[in-house]
This record gives sequence, C-alpha cells and structure tokens, in this order.
Amino acid sequence: MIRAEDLTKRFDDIVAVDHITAEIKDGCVFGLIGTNGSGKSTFLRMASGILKPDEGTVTIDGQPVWEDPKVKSRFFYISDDQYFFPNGTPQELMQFYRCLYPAFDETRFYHLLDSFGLKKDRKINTFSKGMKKQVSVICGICAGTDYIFCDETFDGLDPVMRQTVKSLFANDMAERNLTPIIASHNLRELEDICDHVGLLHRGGILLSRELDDMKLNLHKVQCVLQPGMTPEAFAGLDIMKTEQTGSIYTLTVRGEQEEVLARIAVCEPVFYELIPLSLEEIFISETEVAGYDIKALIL
Amino acid sequence: MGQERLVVRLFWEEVKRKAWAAALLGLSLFFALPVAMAMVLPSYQPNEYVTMAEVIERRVKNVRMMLDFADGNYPVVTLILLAAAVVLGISTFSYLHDKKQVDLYHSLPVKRELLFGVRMGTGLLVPAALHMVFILLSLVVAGANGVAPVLVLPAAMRGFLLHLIYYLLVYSTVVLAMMMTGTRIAAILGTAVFFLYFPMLSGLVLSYYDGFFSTYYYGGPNLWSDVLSKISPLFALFRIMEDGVTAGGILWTLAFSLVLILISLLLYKERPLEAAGRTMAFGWSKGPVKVLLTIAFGLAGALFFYSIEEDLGWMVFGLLVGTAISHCVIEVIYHGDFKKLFRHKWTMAVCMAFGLVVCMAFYFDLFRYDTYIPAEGDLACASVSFGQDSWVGYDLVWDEDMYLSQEEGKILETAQVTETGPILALSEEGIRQLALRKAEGRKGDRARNVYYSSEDPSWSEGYEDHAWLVVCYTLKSGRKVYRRYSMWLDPVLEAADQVYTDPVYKKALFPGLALDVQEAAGNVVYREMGGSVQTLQGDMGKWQVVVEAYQEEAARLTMTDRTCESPVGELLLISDQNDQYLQKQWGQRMADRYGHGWYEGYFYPVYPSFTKTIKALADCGITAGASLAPERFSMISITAYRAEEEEDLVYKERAETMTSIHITYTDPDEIRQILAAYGSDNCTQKNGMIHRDGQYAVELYLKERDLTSSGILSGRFIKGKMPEFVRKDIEERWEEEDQKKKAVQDSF
Repeated sequence: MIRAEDLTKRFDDIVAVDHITAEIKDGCVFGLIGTNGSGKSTFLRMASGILKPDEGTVTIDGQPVWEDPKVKSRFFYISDDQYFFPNGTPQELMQFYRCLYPAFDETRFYHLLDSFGLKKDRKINTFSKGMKKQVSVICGICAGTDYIFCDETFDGLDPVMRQTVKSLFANDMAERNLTPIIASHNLRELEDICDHVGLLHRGGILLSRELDDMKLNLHKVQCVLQPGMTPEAFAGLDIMKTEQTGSIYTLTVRGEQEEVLARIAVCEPVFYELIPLSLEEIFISETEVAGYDIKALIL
Repeated sequence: MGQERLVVRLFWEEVKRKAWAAALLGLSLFFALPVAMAMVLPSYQPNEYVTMAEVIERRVKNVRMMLDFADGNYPVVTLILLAAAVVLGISTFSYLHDKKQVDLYHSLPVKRELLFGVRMGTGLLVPAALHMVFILLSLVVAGANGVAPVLVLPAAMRGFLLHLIYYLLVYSTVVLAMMMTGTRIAAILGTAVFFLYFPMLSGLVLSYYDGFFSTYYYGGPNLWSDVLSKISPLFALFRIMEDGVTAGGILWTLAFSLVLILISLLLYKERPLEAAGRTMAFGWSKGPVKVLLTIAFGLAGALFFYSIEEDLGWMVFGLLVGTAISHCVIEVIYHGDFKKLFRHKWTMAVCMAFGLVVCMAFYFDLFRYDTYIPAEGDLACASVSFGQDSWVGYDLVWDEDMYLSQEEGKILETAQVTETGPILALSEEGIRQLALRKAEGRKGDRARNVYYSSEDPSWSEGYEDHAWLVVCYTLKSGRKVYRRYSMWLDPVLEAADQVYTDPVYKKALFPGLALDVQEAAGNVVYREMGGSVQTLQGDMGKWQVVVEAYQEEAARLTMTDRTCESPVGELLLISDQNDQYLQKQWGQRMADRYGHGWYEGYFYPVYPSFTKTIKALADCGITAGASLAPERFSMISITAYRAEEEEDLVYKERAETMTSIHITYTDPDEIRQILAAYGSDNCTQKNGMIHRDGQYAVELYLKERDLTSSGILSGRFIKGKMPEFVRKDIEERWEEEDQKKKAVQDSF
C-alpha cells in the first residue's frame, strides 16, 4: 500500500502540493485527477522518489520511497513526456530497464511489441507520440513491478490502444495484483478503469473515494410523472439535481438503490428507469456537495 | 541483480551515451600522438655530421617530449584532454538540466551515489582508456622508427598518470559547476567563473595596486597574486606547463580534486531535481555568486574609466555603471526574465557602496601604502636594489634543457643587511620625493605617471642616476614587504654608500667579489670598454694578484665614486661551475666564447680609481684604458645643445626648440684634457650611476679604424669635469650664434 502523509512541495513561492494525505490500496486502479497545475505530476514525482518532499513522506508498505532503491524497484514511473535515449531502439531500452528491474519479462516485451505493431530495432525518435507512449507502457508492464505510475499516459493514445492498455492493466491486476496509479486531467479517460479516485485542486486533495462507493449512493433516474405531479412529490428522496426535457425528468438522487426505486414506485410514475452515471456526473455531484464548481475545475 | 552487475551495466550504458565524445577524443589523440609521431620521427636521418646513434637519441628525446606531461614544446595532448574534461564534464551531468532525463534517471531503483559514481567514472575512465590506447599505439610507431619502447616507457607512463591527475582536476571543477547550475549555458558560465574568476580578480587587484600605488613593486610577494591567481584549475595547469611538475603540486592537485568531487557528490545528493531549467540549482548560491561577480565588474568598470580619464569622477561613474550593469545582467540571467532587471536593488546598492570604499581606499591611499615604513624595532633585516647593476650574472641554475641565471628578485631576498638604518633613510627620501612629485602634479595626474620633481635634475640635465629603488624589508615576524621608489639618489648618497659598502650586501650583489681568488684567477681575462678580450700574461700568481686587488678595491667602491667615474675596462670573474655550464651550453660555438654576450654578466667594471688593479694588470702585460689613449684620436667633435623659445613665424605661437653648435679639437693636449673628462656611452652599461652632462655630446674620431669600432666613439662629459677651455669656447660660440640671429632678425 502506498501512503502519502502530509505531503507538501513548494517551488519557490508556489505551493504545488499542499499537505496531501492519501492511501493507495494494492490491486486497485487509483485515478488522480485534476486540472493543469493541480499538483498531479508533482505528487507522482514525489511518489516515485524524484522530488524530495518539503514536508511529509511517501511510503510503500511503511518504507519511505526517498533514496531507497529496494522500495523504488517496486514501481515503474512513466512521465508525461518520457525521455528516450537519442537514437535508442525499443530493444536497447528494454536492455537498459532489464538491468534495473530484476523481474523484467523480456519474452513478454517482444510479444507485446509485436502485438502493438512496433519494431524492436526502429529508432524510438522516429515513432509517433502515441507509439512512444505504447513503448513506455510496454516497458512499464514488463518491468514486473508492483506499481506503475502513469502521468497523462493515456493522452495521445487512440481509443483502441487506450482500451488495449486498459486490458493489459486489468490482466496484470488479476494475475499479479498490479496497482496502476494514473494521473490525468481528463475524467472521461479514467471512467472505465479507476477503482479509486483522488481529486486534486491547487495542490490540495478535494476528495479521495472508492468509485463504487460513490456509484452505490448516487443514482440517475429518468421518469415521466403523472399529469400534475412534480418531483417534489417523491417524499423522502434526496434529490440533488433535477433536469426537465418536456415531460421527462432526469433526477440525480443520493441513497440506496432499492430504497430509491421503492420510493419512486410508491408515487406510480408513468415511466421510470435507472440510467448509469458517468464519472463526470458523479464528480459534479460530489464536488458540488463540497461547495466547488467542478465544471470550472476540470471540464 | 547484483550490485556489481548493475554498476557494469550502468557504466556500459553510460559509455554508449558518450560514444560521440569518445570518438571525437579518440580521433584527436590519434592525430596528436601516433600520426604526429609517424610524421616527425622519420625527419631525423643520419648524415655526414650526425650519426645513427645520435639520430636515435634525438628520436627518443622527441618521443619522450610528445608522450610526457605538459612539455612546453608539445602541449597538444594536454590541451586536447583539457578540452575533453570540459566537454565530458558538461555532457556527463547535463541530464540534470533536463526534466525529462531527471524523471527517467531518478525514478530508477538506483542510489544517487551510485549514479554519481558511474557517471564520474565514465567521464574519467573513457578518456584514460583512450589515452592509454593511443600511447601504446605511439610506442608501436616509435618502435617502428628504431626507438626501443623501454627507453620511452617511463616518460609515457609519467605522462599518462599526470595527464590523468590534471584531467581529474579540470573535470571535477566542471562537474561542480554542473551541480550548482540548472542550464547548460549557466554551467558553461559557471565553469568560466571557476576557471577565470580568481585569476582575473587577482589581476584586477594588482592593476589597482599598480595604478594607484606609486611604490608598488611587481616582483614582491602579494597575497592577491600568490593566492588568488592559483585558485583556478586552468591556471594551475598552465603554471605547471611553465614551471614543471613537483611532488607537492601533484599531491595538492589530487587532494583538491578529491575535495571537489566530494563537494559535488554532496551537492548531487542534496540537489533539488526540480532545478532542471533554472539558472542556479541552489538558492543559497545565488546571492554570494552575484555579489562576488558584481563587485569585480564594478571595480573593473571603475578602473577602465579611470585609466581613460584619470579622474575621480569618471572612476566613480565607471564603478556605478559597472556594478549596475553586471547586477542587472545577473538578475536577468537568474530569472530568465528581462522585467526582473532591478530585483534586489539593495544588494546592488551594497555592492556599489563596497566598491566605492575599495576605490576610495586606493585613490586616497587610505591604508598609507605609499608612505609605509616599518618601525626599526620590527625589522629583522632589509635589502635594497638600486637598479643600477642589472647586468650582473648570478649562479646559473638548471632549468629543463637550459641553464638560466637566477632572478634579481631572489638576490634581493638574499642580499639582506642587519644595519637597516641607511635603508630606512633611503625609503624616507623616496617617500619625500614622491610627496613632492604628487604636490607638483597637475590636477588629475597620479604620482605614478610623474617621475621627476622640479628638485630632481636627473631628467632636465640628463643625469643617469635616477633610480628605481626597490626595498625589501624582512620583518621580525618573517613577513617580507617590498616597496619601489622612483627617486634621485643624490640627496641620500651617504646612506646609499653605507649600504653599498656593507661587505655582506656587496658580495651578495656582486658574486664575483666573493669568489675564491684562485678559482677566479683561473678564468680571468680582461676587456677594454667596447674593445676585445685580452688574455693576461705571466703566471697564475700574477693573475691572483689582479683578482685580489680588484676584489679589494671594488669592495671599497662607493655609489658616490661611481657618480664621477667611467669604467676603463672589464675583468671576467666567473666560477668554474658557471664557466663549465656556459661552455657545455654553448659548447659547439665556443670559438669566440666571449663575443656573444653569454659571459656579459661576469665582466666586472674596472674604474680609473682602481690603481692597484690597473698596476697588477700592467704586470700581466695589459694597459687598462689603452683604448682611450690620446694618441689614438685625430679629432674630437663636441656638440652643445641649447633650448630656445621663439615665435613661430607662421602660426605666431611660441615654441621651444633645440639648437646646437659644433666645435672640433685636433690639438693633442686639448684631446688629452677632453678624454680625462670623457664618459663613453658604453660605460653606462656597467655604471648607471655616472653623472654625465646631457647638454654636450662628445664624439671621438679614431686615427685608424679597428675591428671593434666604426671609427667614431660617442659619449658625454662627466658632470663637473668639462675642461675650462671647452666651456669658454662654447660660450663664445653661443654668443656668435646669438649675434648672427640678431642680425638676421634686424634685417627683417
């Protein structure tokens, strides 16, 4: 488990990360979202031991990450703009990482290169931005580490590749309990992969929650009411948001799914159904509760 | 993976990254060593004068020169490795200035110490390995040219190790600059600062000393030049190339390099990696670096404007402008933003204030440098150089392939007398004359540029006793203090005589007077002033008498005596050792051993008052002063000069012009009298103290030309000795000239 405690980093008079305390449990996908400059990259760079925190610590299973190669060998960091050796090829990159990560899976590396249609002896600097990201992800997956830190890694990947990478993460999570920590400014990118989400804003953490917990207690109901009825008629429902398009109401409601459905059924609407909430909608609701205008923050 | 394998792997990866630098270095060494050797060695070929054995000896010497360290004749390899140290130092750690690379390398499971060690090692071992490879190749080339490798191997290995040590010094300095900065441009500037700042600061301070202190002596020890100029790896290297390698120097270099590496490691560990892209990696270093540079540039600006205008106002202007510009430029570089030009104005103000204090201290001599005289109780001993005997040759010392005479400065340190009163009197007079010159100087004139006061006739009357007097005080604390005075010696001739006749001082100043009589007599010859060398006749006993007489009379000679005596000839007083050195050095051209000036420092002047010496020489068949015998001359021409102020007819301005008259004498008695008062131009080479009258030129016309003269000898009258009939003739001629001029003016 990765634990950041009271983590703070300042760059001159700018507080990039401001007393963040968070836990990242093993075996889940941790999504770190926030606007540009919210501190995501700085958080990841501290978590990977690149930057030294001004205050606080980052530990993995209780061991500080800073200057401990043993602890650092448990994660692989993919930066938002990964460095590749001048004129280096994927094969040379693999050879470099292989000597640093003892569990590096060379066979799988070549297999994945083939699968992604990347040539092992082509110079990386001739690759497109997306192909470079693929090489980084393949290296990260094959490094055999417990954690993989991805900073805006999905940015630049086409939808097919994005899905492929997500599948790879899912596979490794299932097979060897890999824990991906993915930072992104795009909520939609993390929607179908994250188990846990941390929202950063101006260096501080607004919320850190299990996505399922949020989904369990938040529902979107589409319904057509009896003539003359209004949503206020649903007694006991915690309606957070109401939208009306003609006779169709779309309600965002907080509470247990069964209880919500039961209370709606009591009022005998003409039609009603639960529809899935997007991560974006969940965040809008959660952050509005916290007093923030999420659209201004992220969207 | 085991640590060793990891190190090897990282090292190898780093070597791959440095392949371009290794290729460049390898190519340079390839041309500088084996190729150059293959081109040079075959040029030594045997011929009718040079045997094959001699050719091989020359080739061996050449190979040694090319492979050894810092030989002034072949510094190519040293310079290549110097450039390599800078390039590799920057490229090895340039990743720290790139965020992408920092993210890659520092997220890896490797300790910083290991990363540092691997990179340092790569930058050190790659050039070392390449250098060794090309040394071995050179040995093969040398072998192919008949030079047995065993003969040059010690020089090659010495060269390899010393190159490595000095490479390490330069390389570790560049690495330190990389650690302290966040961009490559800043690192290059930082390297330049480490290389040049202290030597340039030393030069700047010495320029202040030279520009503002009239009594500053260049040759004396100076904290600024002794310490500051040495705080630079570049200058350390150049100094070693010039002065040679010493064991102490090597140890210091190694120790200093290790300290630099340790500091670099410490900074590497503490370096905030977010500094990539910033000018300075550590915030704490910004202030001191800026202040040190700003003050230096401010002082340089002040000196620059002062040197142009010699005015206090312009000096202050230069200081303010230099400080402000440098401070602003540094702020812009620090922030990468022109709008931050005037950040930290208070620091700029403090730098200006400090610079102003320094400028004023020099301008007004607030620390009383020019008037310094130690208390007699603080003095252990003292010495003085009158600057009149720079011709003297001292013990020859071995330096590389040549024997060189010891420096005069060293003599100044050794010719110390404990009776310091007369020397202090000389200094007091020097300070008094300086004060007089300063008082008479024009507004804006600095005493440094005004050598003569109205009291000092040396200039106007052409006397040659105006001296650059250098005094060396040895204080009881062991400290040596030097001062130099530009002064006219006449007012303190008595004190000068006391120092000059001190046996310790005299023998140190003139080593020929301290020579063993027998040894000196073995080498003694005589030479007329401006004439040819004559061998003494008779036996060794007579020669010894000559030497003994000379040593006795020269020891008694005073400065006062020298003001009115012109040497008639010279006696060679040289030790066997020095003579052998010279013979060995110039062995193949010794047919005319005294004719090339090599022995010039060992020919001591014989004065007319040295009657005992002249008599002893006569006993050996030599007539001292024969070259000035009256019967040799057919005619003497005297030219008298007079400065006249007259109005320019065209421009209607009054201007000073020199007019002259010529008088010739052919009467033998008149010629004899004139010769008795004659001081030849040649004599000033060995007696700079002589007072000669600058208003009259005397030319002697020989009856017969000989091999050593053109037929005319030039000179002047010794002060106060001009014959009365000459004076009378000159006065009459001037009167005639005046009358002629008046007649011409009247006719207009």
